Amino acid sequence: MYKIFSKNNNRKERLLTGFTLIEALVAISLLMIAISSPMMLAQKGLSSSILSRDQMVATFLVQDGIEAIKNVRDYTAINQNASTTYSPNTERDWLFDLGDCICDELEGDECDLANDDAKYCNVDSTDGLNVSSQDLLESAGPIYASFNDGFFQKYTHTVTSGNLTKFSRKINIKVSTSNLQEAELRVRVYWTSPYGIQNIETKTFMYNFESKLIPEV
Amino acid sequence: MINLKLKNNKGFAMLFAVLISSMLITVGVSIFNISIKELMISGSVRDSQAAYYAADSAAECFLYWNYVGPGSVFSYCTGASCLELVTINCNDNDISFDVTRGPINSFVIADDSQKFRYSTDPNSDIQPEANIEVTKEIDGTIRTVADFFGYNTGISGRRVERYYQRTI
Repeated sequence: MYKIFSKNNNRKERLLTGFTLIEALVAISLLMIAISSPMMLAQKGLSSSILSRDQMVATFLVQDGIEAIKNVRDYTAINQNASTTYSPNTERDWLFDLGDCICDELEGDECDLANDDAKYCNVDSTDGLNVSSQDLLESAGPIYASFNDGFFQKYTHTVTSGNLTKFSRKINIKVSTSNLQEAELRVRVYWTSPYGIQNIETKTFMYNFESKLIPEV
Repeated sequence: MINLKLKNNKGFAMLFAVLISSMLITVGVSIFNISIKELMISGSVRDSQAAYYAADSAAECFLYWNYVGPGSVFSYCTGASCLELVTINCNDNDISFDVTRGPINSFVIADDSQKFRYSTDPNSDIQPEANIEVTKEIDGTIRTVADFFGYNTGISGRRVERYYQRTI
């Protein structure tokens, strides 16, 4: 009787020991699923946060490009009458300082900035509004960041003044064929993200009206 | 007595596991939700920028025709010889304004149906567009008040509108 009882007890113990291992394995796997799902959600969420931050930066870099180009256009309009080299009321000379940016499809230029062989220029709003031609830029208009006053990040195309950021910018101007006083300005900022290459492109039109407002010297 | 205690404690692990799991999932979903909202906000900034520059393009076009256009198309005029229809051209689109005279020494050049249109993507129907509304105000001096309504029917499916006014 004792023996039988003892034997049964041992078997029970053996069974219980095995069950604990299976139980533990099941529990661990359930725990893994339970933890990994929210972790993945959180990770995806953080990636989206980074993407949204980059989108904001890129949007303002596009705006920076547009405003800088318009500033150069205005500078030309203000100074044009003092110089004999331009005649901005005629043809394209109102874009005299933006010559590197003009893309002419009739001359065989590729104007769609989404294409790798598109003609483009760039402008440095933090460095005297210098317009640089495609040839002077390394690869495709990379943007560098440097810290101004140790706090605000300043974006520039000047290689020596900062660290390379993930952003690149391309700008071009297409003069209307029907009205030489009308030009289409396109700015494209793009960067590589975990979701692939992202871009933000904005288009606006510029007109040559300011030269009429400034009396001739 | 011991058995009773054990019986009462049974299911605790399950309850605890469900509690922890639901807490973790809630935290994960919350972070994800916040990030999606952030993404929507930054998408709106991008769409809003397109709308703003549509309005800005319309403003540039208006200023060009105001200063450079033949015979100053938007100039103040009284009498029978005045234009009933003013037409300007922006981005190869003719934009016509019906000239309607207001009751108190003013007239309005406005037509909401005419739009300054342009597209960032030529193959897309989604276009940032702008309406121009011009008003002449005669209050001692003659002023031209132009309103520009730029809007974008949204890459993220939400309409964004930016408006600004120039008085010259």
